[in-house]
Formats: sequence, C-alpha cells, structure tokens
Amino acid sequence: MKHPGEERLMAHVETLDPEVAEHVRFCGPCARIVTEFRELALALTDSTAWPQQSSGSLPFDPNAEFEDESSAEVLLENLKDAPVAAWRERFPRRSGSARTLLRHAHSLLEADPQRAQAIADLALVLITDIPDEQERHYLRGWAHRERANALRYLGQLPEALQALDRAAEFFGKLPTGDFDLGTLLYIRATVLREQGHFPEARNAAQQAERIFAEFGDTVRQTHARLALANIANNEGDLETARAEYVRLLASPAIGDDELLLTRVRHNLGCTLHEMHDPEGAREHLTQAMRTYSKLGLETEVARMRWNLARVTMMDGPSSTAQLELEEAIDQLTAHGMRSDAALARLDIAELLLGDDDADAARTHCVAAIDDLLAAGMNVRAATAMALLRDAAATDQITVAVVRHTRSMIEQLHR
Amino acid sequence: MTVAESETTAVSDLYRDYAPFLRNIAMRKFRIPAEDVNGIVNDVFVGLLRARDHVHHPEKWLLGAVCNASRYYWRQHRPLDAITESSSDQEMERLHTLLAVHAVLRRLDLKCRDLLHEHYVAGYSASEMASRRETTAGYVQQLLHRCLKSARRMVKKEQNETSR
Repeated sequence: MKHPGEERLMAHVETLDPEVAEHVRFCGPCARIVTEFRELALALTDSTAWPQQSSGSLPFDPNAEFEDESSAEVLLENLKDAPVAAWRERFPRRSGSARTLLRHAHSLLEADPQRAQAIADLALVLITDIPDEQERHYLRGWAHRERANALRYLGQLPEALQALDRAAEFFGKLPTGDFDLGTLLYIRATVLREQGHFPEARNAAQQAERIFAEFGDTVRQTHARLALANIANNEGDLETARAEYVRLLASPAIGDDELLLTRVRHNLGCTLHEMHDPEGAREHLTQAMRTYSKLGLETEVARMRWNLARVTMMDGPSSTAQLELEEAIDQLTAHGMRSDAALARLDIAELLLGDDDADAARTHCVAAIDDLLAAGMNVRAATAMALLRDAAATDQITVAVVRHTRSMIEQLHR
Repeated sequence: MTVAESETTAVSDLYRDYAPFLRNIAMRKFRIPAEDVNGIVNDVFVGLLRARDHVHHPEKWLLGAVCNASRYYWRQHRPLDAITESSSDQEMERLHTLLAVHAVLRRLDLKCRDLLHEHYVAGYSASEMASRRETTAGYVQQLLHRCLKSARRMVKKEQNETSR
C-alpha cells in the first residue's frame, strides 16, 4: 500500500480503517501523523484546553513590588567602582535594591567571585526589613544561591554546599519554589563533581534534569544532561560520556545556543582524546576552537590550542607536538593562565624525556614550578610540585614522575 | 515604554491568556477546591514576576509551577499518602500538549474553533452538525478535517517554538 494521504490518516483516527491500520503498523512517519492527530483529538475533547473569558488584568500591581529597581540600577552604576562596604548605607532596604545587587553579583562570578560574594552578603542585609514574607524568602534563597556560586568559584566547596542548604531552606517555603530548587540541585551537582563525589553529583544532576523537564525548560535540562556526561567522564566511564555528548550535539534543545553547542563539542573532543581517538578528537576540538574564536573567547581558544597539541602528542611527530605546545604556552601565558601553562610545560617535559633529552625536560619542569608559584598554588599543589622539584634537583626526572605530578595538579584543578 | 513596564505588560498578557487555563488544570487535574484556586494561580504569577530573570519559556514555566503549587497545596492540607497526583513524564507531556492546544485555539479561525468545539466538546456528530446547518455530512466532515489539519500544523509550530 502507498502512503495514505493526511486526510485518510485523520479519518482513521475516528473511524478505524483496517487497511490504514495495517500500513501504520510498519510505517513510522504515518504512525507519527496518526499519533499526532489522536493526541490533538484527545486534547480537543478536554474542556481545559478551551479558552474562556477572563478579566484580563492582573489582580495585583507588579509595579508596586518592583518600583525601586530602576533607581537601584542607577545607584549601582554610580557606585560600581567603590568598595562594597561603602554601598551599605546607600542602597535602600527594598527588594529592588536586593534584586539589582544579586543580578550584579551573578554577572561578576567568573571575573571577581570574591566581590560577588561580598555583594550577595550585602543583599542579605538589605533583605532583612522587607515586609512581604514570601518576597523575603525568595530573595534570601536567591542571595544564598549567589553566595554558593561565588564560593564554588573561590574553591570553598564545603561552604558552597552549606550556602546551597540555606538557599533550599528558603525556596522550600515558597509554593512556586520547585524550579529554584532545581537550579540549586544543578549547582550542587557541579560542586559535588568538583569534590569528586560522583554518585551524589549524578543524583543531584538527575533530579535537576527532571525538574527542568517538568517546567519545560529545555535549555537548563540540556545543561543538566551535559553535567551528567561530565560526571561520567570524570568517573572514567568514557563510553557513556561520549554517547551522551553525541546525543546532546544532535539534540534540538541546543537550538541556536552556539556557546553551549561548542562546550559540548569541546568536551566530546577531550573525551575522544582520552579514548585514544586522535582523529575524532581533532575534528571536534578544531571546530570548537573556531567557534570560540568567532565568539571572541580568547582564553578558550588558548585552551583549545593546548588540547590540540596534546592530540598531536598522541599521533604526530614529537617535534610538531613540541612546537604546538610552545605556541599554546605563549597564548596561555599571555592570557594569565599560568597553571594551565605549567601543565603544558609538563607535557613538553614528557615529550623531551621520550626523546632522552633530560636536561631540556628539567628546564621545562623548573619553568612549570615557576608558573605554578606565580598562579598562587595551594598547599596540596605545592606537595605535588615538591616531588617534581626534588626529582629535577637530583637528575631523577622520569616520564612517570612527570605524569604523576601532572595528574595530581589536574585533580586539584578539576 | 521602559523595560520594567514592557515586562509587566507581558505578564499581564500572560495572565489574561493563561490564568483561566491554569485554574482549570489546578481544579480538574489536582482537584484543588474552587475557593483556593485563584490564590494558587495568583501565587504562581507572583512567582513568575520574581523569577522572570531566569525563565526561558513563561508558558511552560507557568504550567510546571501550577502543578507544583497544587502539590504543595496538598502537602499542606492532607497527609502525603492521600495525595492523588500524577507527575510522570507521560502526564507532563500530555499537559504540555494541552498547553500548546490551548495557545492554538486562542488564535484559530473563529469558524474552525466553533466547529471543533461543537464536535469534540459538545459531542455532535458530523451528520447532526450538518442537519443543524442544513448541509451535507460530507461537507461538515471536510470542514472538520480542514480545521483539524490547520490546528495540527499550528500545534506543531507552537511546540517547536517553545522547545527551542
């Protein structure tokens, strides 16, 4: 039987047509059309779907609630460069001030998390006198969420989890707080992943994904799925991570979000590299680098250049890999990414040791130590580097020592 | 018009277009008593105003929020094990279809809307509708099919737009 026309498929929904029924059993596209008509017919019989007359205006005045937001924005513009402590007496204790400050804190997370935290703390003070209890709960939840975000960027992970608990306490008091609880679960998943608590991180990301799906927020749902793939990658389950990245790349939910698409591509490239698939890795990393460059994200371009050089380490001549790594180091250093530059130097050291050039390898290890010191390494990183320093001082540098140091530092950066 | 004013207008429009739909969902799907329905739906709109900075699809957000606010209502009013609710993916998918159909019905040609209402809600057959109009059942059937086709196209477009 040829494909039945739309008309006939539609009629089949109301009056069973045996010939069409037989065709539909084996024809996916026709079965899909029949399902769509059936769902539409079902929805049309539900009186809930039918529009009714409505009073047409809100039963409350939203302007009254947010009236002071625009003046707070002007005030913020004037005080932007002043220390946060000086803001305290200037901002009125109103919800508009708190909202403006919290939005500003969020925008500073990557560039200046310390200042973002100070602003969120100030918002918490301003919220105290807001008379509407629900508004107060919501803003407190929001403020603790921004504190958690800032603490995560600052690497204070247990404190970030505590702030998330506080935020959940306040959002939990709101009848419409479930969506916000979803955003908290997503942040919790990223913190737990950074702590290496992968099963707990996966659980939180799965819960967040369910909530975002329920609210129809496909963009956040995609971010939660990306987090799940990243967790699988960290756990060493590379095949699961790869499959999920590939699914995400094909997902219509990503739509026009070029940056999100590029992040997925970037992660897929890194996973393929770990899976010893240099061709696949190079393809995705190159595409990611092009888009980062188009979007003007120069630090990501430098990172991609380094990743690509590492791929060449796997399948190219060692001299080419070294050249590419040196170019990457120049770019990483130019953008102030000293700890990444240190790791790239360890990559060169590994190549040189493979070529039996221990002297040159030692030079790069010493430069890596300098880079890490300049990046302000913490005590644990110092312990890792001490091993390398001792080895360099005693001519005992080996590939194993370099790799061990690299992996310790990488774990600290994860 | 300032940004804040235009946002308020947008929420007012959403209230006009979706508040009755959301009241119906709360009453019919979650059996919220009529006297509490307005409070729940209004709380959800206040929630939207609060969260408007990070909401991508307000219509879907409103639907999710009214479902959760209804569950929250029963958590406050009845022991948990007595709550009758369905939050499965399938049920949410059905509610999302209902939401898309609601949006389409508001825009659909009035003649089509009346025909579909008469057939699917009032339950008249094509022959009954034909005799009310003094025409043939075949012609009514044709009209119904045309309306249904047009509605399906619009629903698909609506779903594609909101899933972006």
